[in-house]
Amino acid sequence: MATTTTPPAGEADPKQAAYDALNALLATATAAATNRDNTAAAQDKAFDVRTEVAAQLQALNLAVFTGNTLQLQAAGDEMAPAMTQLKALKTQIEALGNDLKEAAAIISGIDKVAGEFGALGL
Amino acid sequence: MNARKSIVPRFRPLWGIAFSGTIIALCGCALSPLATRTAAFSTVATATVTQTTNAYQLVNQTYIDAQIATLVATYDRTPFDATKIKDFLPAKDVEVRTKILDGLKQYATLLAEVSGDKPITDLETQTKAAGDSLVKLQQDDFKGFKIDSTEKDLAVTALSAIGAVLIEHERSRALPGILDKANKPIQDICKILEDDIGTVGKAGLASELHLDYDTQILDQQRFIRENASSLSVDQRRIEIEKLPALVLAQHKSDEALAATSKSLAALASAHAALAATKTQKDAPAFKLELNELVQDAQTISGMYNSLSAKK
Repeated sequence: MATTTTPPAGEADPKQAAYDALNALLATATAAATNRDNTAAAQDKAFDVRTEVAAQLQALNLAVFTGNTLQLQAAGDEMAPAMTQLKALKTQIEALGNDLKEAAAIISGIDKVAGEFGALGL
Repeated sequence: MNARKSIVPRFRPLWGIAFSGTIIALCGCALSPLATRTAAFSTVATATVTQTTNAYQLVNQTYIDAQIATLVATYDRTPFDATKIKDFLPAKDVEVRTKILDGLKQYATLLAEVSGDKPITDLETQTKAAGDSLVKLQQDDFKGFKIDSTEKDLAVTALSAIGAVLIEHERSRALPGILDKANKPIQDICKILEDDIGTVGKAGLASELHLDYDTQILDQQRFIRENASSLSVDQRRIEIEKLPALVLAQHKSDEALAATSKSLAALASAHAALAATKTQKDAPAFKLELNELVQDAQTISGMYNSLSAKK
């Protein structure tokens, strides 16, 4: 399952172009907000612009995450048959081990029987 | 009793020969190369899953830190908005990832359980106990049916070996098919989780984390500028010193997410190599992938530990 966020090779991603433009605007606003040659009012204005641009970028960052959720859920569902088989294998191995342990317990049980015969002088 | 005495000694050499032959035939078969690789894979996969969970937590925590930094920097001019103090990642989307990551961890753990030594060592413990009981017969005045410690060891080893072969038979029959079936969803899951993270400069969590540190740095600068006249020299020093600390934390966080993304890619490759080498005795390609995965897991673990220690 391929994600939808990556365009085919060779094609420019329009979302990336918008993202790059917002990042460029963010850098400009940040530089203006921290430029000591600017008045305090100009710095405050630049700070507000930066906050707006950052919010747009955050929305795009979040969209990738939330946009992937359905595909991820589908991929998780695809894991179910393998998980079921793996659990069945574990159960089978445990059952096999239990059978052999039972056999070992029967062998050790001879100890008791033999002990009782011994006590009877047989 | 006499009859028993005459029969048992005749059987003893046959017991020895039979057990020795069985042991020679079966020893060394306890763990197949595939089972060994599967157990190794599951160990590092579990570590990678843990680090991916840490990445989501780091993104959420850093977003909240950025909201707090903005609140402090703008408190005098902007009213406090409690709704802004929240996780960046929506709970329902995180829940899906938590379930997927738990599933991957469970898959890795189950692989380790069915592939590892435990089923066989459990069996050996039981058979050894049974063998010890047989030896005790000598102390029970039951002279006709004695087994000495060499015979006991042979019996125990043979029974353990038979059990190991039966377990290995089940494993080698079922594991390759399971690995094949799980491979595609694991490739998809790792790719989507990598896409979640992305890289700085492209939309995704890596960019969000970087941006939230940028915001904290900018807010801190603003706080210092706006409160310059009211801060003492020592207070000013403390506030200024926070700036390089934030820059360093940003670098480390960027590295941690990049390493997590790389680790997810390596996990997918390692599982593909595991599935591809399921019928091979030696698998150099798998060993290479696994080594990369082990190194990545250790690197990332150290990064997240150092970041969480600073919080």
